[in-house]
Amino acid sequence: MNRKKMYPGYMMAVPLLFFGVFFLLPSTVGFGYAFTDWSAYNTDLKFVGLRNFKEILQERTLSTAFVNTLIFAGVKTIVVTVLGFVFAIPLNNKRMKTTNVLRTIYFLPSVLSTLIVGLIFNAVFESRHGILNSLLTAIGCEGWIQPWLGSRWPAVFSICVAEVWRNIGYAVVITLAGLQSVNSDYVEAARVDGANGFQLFWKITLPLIMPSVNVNILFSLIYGLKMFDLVYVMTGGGPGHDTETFGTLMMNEMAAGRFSHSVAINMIFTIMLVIVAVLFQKYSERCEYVE
Amino acid sequence: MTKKRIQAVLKQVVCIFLCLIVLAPFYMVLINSFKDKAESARMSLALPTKWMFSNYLEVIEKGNLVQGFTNSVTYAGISTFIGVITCAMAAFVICRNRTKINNFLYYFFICGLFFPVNYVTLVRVLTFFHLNNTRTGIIITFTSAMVPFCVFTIRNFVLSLPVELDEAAVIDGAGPLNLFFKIIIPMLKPTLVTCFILQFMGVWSDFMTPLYLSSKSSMFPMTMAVYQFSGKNKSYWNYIFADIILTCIPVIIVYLLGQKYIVGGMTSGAVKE
Amino acid sequence: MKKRMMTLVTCALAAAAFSAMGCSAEDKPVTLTLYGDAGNVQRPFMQKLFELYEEKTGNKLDVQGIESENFETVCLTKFQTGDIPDLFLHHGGYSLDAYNPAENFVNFTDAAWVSDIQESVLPTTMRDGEVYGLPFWEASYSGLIYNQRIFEELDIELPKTQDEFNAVCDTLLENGVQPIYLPLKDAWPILYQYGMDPIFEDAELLEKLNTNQITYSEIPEMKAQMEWYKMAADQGYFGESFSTDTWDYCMEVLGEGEAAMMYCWDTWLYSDYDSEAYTYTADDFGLMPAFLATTENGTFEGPNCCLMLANKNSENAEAAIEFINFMADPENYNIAFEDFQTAPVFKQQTTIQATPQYQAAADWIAEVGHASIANPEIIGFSNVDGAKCIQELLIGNVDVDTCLQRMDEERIKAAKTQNAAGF
Repeated sequence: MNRKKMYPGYMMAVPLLFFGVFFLLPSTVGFGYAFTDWSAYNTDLKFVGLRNFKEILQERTLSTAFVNTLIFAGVKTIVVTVLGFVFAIPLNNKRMKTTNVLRTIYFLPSVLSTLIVGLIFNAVFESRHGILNSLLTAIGCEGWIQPWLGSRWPAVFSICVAEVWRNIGYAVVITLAGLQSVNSDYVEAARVDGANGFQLFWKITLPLIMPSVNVNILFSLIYGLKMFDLVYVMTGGGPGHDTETFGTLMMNEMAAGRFSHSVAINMIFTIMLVIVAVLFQKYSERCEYVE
Repeated sequence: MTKKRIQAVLKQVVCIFLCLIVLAPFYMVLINSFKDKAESARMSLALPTKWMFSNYLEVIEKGNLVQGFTNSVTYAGISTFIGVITCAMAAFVICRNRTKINNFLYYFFICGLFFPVNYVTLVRVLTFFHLNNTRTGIIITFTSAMVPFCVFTIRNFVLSLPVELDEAAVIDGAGPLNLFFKIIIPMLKPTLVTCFILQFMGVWSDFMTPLYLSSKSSMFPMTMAVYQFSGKNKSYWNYIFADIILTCIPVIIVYLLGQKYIVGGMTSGAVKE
Repeated sequence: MKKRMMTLVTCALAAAAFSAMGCSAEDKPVTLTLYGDAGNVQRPFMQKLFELYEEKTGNKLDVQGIESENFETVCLTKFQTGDIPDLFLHHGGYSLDAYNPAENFVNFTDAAWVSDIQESVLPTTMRDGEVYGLPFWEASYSGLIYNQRIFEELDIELPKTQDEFNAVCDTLLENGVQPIYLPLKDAWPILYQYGMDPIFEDAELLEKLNTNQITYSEIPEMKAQMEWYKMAADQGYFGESFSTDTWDYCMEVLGEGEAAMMYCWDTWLYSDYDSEAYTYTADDFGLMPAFLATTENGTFEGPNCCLMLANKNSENAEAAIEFINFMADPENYNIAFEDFQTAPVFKQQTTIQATPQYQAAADWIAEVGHASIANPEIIGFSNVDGAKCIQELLIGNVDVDTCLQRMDEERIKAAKTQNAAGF
């Protein structure tokens, strides 16, 4: 079989052209601005070398943003992946009558835009009439009541909850797609050999769907690291700068007209993303082939 | 037998409990969309004292939702359709013909997962092609932004398709496009539909791209309308909530339509047993 | 069945695409694009004027309200990409410089309507001594709005000094009423700049600050203000949950009498406050000076106006200038502002009336009123940047000195970006 003829290059033309010209080109060229003094007040750009990077590394908020970004991405990835299974496994059971309805319901949160999820969870965590605090009063846990978005760690927690809620649907859809691709011959064979449900999952199903789980984790990580609009809507990086992330820092620099700073932060951030992804990919490849 | 039954009931109970957690915020949105302005600002879970069904009509009219809806469907539908199909082709080729160039191209595409969008340079490129401020420009931008995700996801699923399929098709005299559309696409249907749904949703809720790429409000998507009702000084929460509900419905419909195909994929897998 | 569904979807998509293309081909006389903060373009007098303009001239306005939180980011990016609207609604002050007014906007210094603007408002329309924007806006006076009925019930006299004010707060607290509603979470409604007007009315001090010869930290009044904030928060003047209080809930908290006072502006009571929905109506509130420890007798802040600016490089520049002149025509603005309750911006404004709060406090305003200075005059001043430092102070992350130091840092950083001399 002639591979060149059977898998011709022109089949890649459209994505290659669109992606190259309208995504990668502007993004890459855009990074150039990190080395200039581009701002709302400077129309003639000058090359300033690494000055922007030096200035950014001295920013007080950078370390907070770094820690927060990692926490948001880490917590979200772990919780969403685990919950993805918790929600998807019962749905994979063909005998359950409510499967279709449930699957649709679990999916609902993902149809909302981040902005809206932020608005909803603001209402949930709000301290005057917030649903959570009223609920805590109702079940007699007054000790837990607090201004959820009013100090750093409760606010970080609240944002994580909202982000997890928003991503459940995504995770369920992808995990389910993986689960259904499992060839039931293996499962049946193991069952005949007397494996119980837990063993079936741990020894048979999980290794088989590891590739799609990995995809899920990778995307969770990347989007988790990139996450900023939810933070922006829920706390605006506050109180003070306590819930700042890389995304909100970039946004603030943009709003202040310091465009070159914003691009430079973005560049540092992109490098961090690539490192995380490459590390993960290395690790997950090892996992996949161990068996 | 009874043990099994108890297990099944337990499972149901857990599922329903999880359902409630997922649904509570939705309930809040829905119930508050029927209240008047002051009552909805309280965002309580109580039923409205007076049902304001007129909120929805007002939102459709004031928010110019009909036009927004047309725009959103145009952007999300066309860009996702083109994106998913062409990316499937690319992923197929990259996966099956592993030359050095194709491997490089794969990583080239994956870069997009990490790189940020720079609207200033993007607009310059679009202007160069005379695509700035046009719907075509917006659609192309959306398509190009979904390439990394689609190529990456679909490639992982092509990996699991046996190469023998291709060989059989070639022996039957099929050309590459024939092979792809007649053999590969049906096999990939669940993945493609999943991709389509996820990307459709992404484009549907993205209002920043159209906002940056056009200067005419006639090109704004449905989601922008939320801003008609929220402002620094006062927010019409009842309208905002009604708008949220209206904006969600089309995506839910797309999901429900798509779900049939995903389920279809499941049963066809089961038949093979 | 499946096939039919697919065909249906495809047809719907195609139909949408074609109808979309059909729309854009239409040709109209002139359509002016206008960018503004979503809340600002929705003001009733703005909406009325837009309608009037479209009716009278046959031209169209494409009004694009951009969400407040993203406003500066979106607009600055759009200006950088060369997407500059025909008309631009902006709140003026130093942040307008980021849009390069001299190069982008029509200079209206010689326009006939300049002489029609109240002297107290005129400075807000200018950058570097040139008039760029029309202050087609409400002229509200800011201070503390307070619930007169609660004050009467508890037999509280209006405070004249800072000490008396603190005593009032204590009395309210003793009676189980939260003294002040402070929406700390939203940052901007802290409105600490009210307290800064009397400090920087001293032109010499302002000049020193603007040439980087003095910092906030070295100004005792600034320190006094921050110390007062801290004391007030610790005493419970701002209630229990101030750290998460938002502007969205202010109507309810004030309207139901949970809190008795809020830093605000008089016009808000009539333009935004929903009298019908709550126990207390707009008329139940009064206006007193903001007591922020920077001056013994409190301070009112003069009007802050949004400006309508015209893009001078647009192909529709002429129409945009005509639009602004249309706005400045007494006949038109008197229709747009009809029955609106606020102080006048224009000298020939006849159809508005001052709010009862303003009328009642007029003498007091004459006595301790100050023009808005911090926002328009201090180089590098950003309401939100400073407010975030106050957030950190009040939730206990930093002490007063560090708070002021950080406010200075933010201000100096912004001034450097603006290439201000001396920084």
